Amino acid sequence: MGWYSEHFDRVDTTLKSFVQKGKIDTAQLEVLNEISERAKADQFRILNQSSLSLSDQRILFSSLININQSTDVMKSRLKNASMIGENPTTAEISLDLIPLYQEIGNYIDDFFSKKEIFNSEKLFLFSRNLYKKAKKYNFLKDTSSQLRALKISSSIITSFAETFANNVNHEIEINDEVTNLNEDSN
Amino acid sequence: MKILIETSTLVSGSISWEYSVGKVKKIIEHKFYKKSYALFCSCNNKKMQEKVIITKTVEDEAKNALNKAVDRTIRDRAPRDIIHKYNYMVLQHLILNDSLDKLDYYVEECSTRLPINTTIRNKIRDSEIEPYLKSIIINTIRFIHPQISRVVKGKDFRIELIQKMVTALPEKGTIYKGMPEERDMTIMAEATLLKRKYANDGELYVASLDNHFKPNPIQVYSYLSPDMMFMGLDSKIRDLLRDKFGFIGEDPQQITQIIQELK
Repeated sequence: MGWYSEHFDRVDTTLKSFVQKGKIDTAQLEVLNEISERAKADQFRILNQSSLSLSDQRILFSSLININQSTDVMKSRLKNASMIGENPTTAEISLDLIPLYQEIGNYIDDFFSKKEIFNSEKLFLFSRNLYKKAKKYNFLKDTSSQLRALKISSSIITSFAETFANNVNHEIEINDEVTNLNEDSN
Repeated sequence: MKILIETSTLVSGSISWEYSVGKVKKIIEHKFYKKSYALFCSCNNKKMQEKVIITKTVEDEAKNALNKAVDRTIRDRAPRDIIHKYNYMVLQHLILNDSLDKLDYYVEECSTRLPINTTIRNKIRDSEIEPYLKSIIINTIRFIHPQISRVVKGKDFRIELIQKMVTALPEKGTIYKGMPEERDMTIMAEATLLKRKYANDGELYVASLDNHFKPNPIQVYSYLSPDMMFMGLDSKIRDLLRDKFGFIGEDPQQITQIIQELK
């Protein structure tokens, strides 16, 4: 069993015990910290893999961002829930993410042991579903704080986004289409 | 009435990213975002979600286009070290997911999906659409290029002359973008199939920003006057496709107008 699979199993057991006992034990939340930190470090490991195509690198990287952020936020929300003595609804919600964590964890473990992704399209789907679920339950960090953490100028962000919007035109073959006659003359 | 959303409309309607860094707030939009978004809004306002169709082909194509565009953007930036690459990877993660969220919203909440028999669709594409398109676009052109002698000087005078020449021409030549790729013909075949299947449901529009589907702008171009002039729209190929296969390729802005005029 790989590192991520093993650790997500531990999270599963921990959360289930919280739900069963109706109480969150903050001493057992360290596993979420370990996963979050490992996922952050692995983002750089992925970027350093020259054997990967850019597209596969991107998919693995996004999966790791989703794991890093959601486990980090999950940990602080479980801590807060414990402080206010909440019946562990936060733990119940967190359990909903476990199947996706396990699926993605298997892919990442496989990649680090065999240096290949077996089905990047499927991994992309799992990662997207994790993102959507984490967003629904507010387990993601907001965009502004993520951008602030990057410490890059707003002109670089704007230029990246504008290049992306223009590159889309190449892909859908509307690069030289005009908006309409009136708009164009303005 | 039914509206089949084409890839370009779905993709451009998905790109509007709002962000703030410190006090700076910005929105980056695709140049056609507003007109594509307006179409979905109008359909929602008129409770027409069941008449708006996004096929699996279009959804997959749109997602592919966004993914490829993001790869191209990272390559274009040519990150010089791992920190730069990390920053770009985080940016792409934020922008791509935001676009995919909007795309999923259109697919899940603003439209419906009708069954498409892919065997029949491919047959229509290969045995009807492709040969017909090949036969009608033989003599089409992309631009009108009037020949004006070098001795005619003055930009305003040259433009006036070009306008006079173009309007005086009895037959300007049919303007069309050129033979579409297989993916566009697949969407045309899907539109044909749906039109045949739901013949009693009135018009079937294909909402597209791609000149392979909609009327083409008449662009007048001269090597000596490089400013492109636009003189109306040429809908000849679009109309031939409509007469033969039943679907009407149209700009989302025009379809929005049609919807707004509906009672």
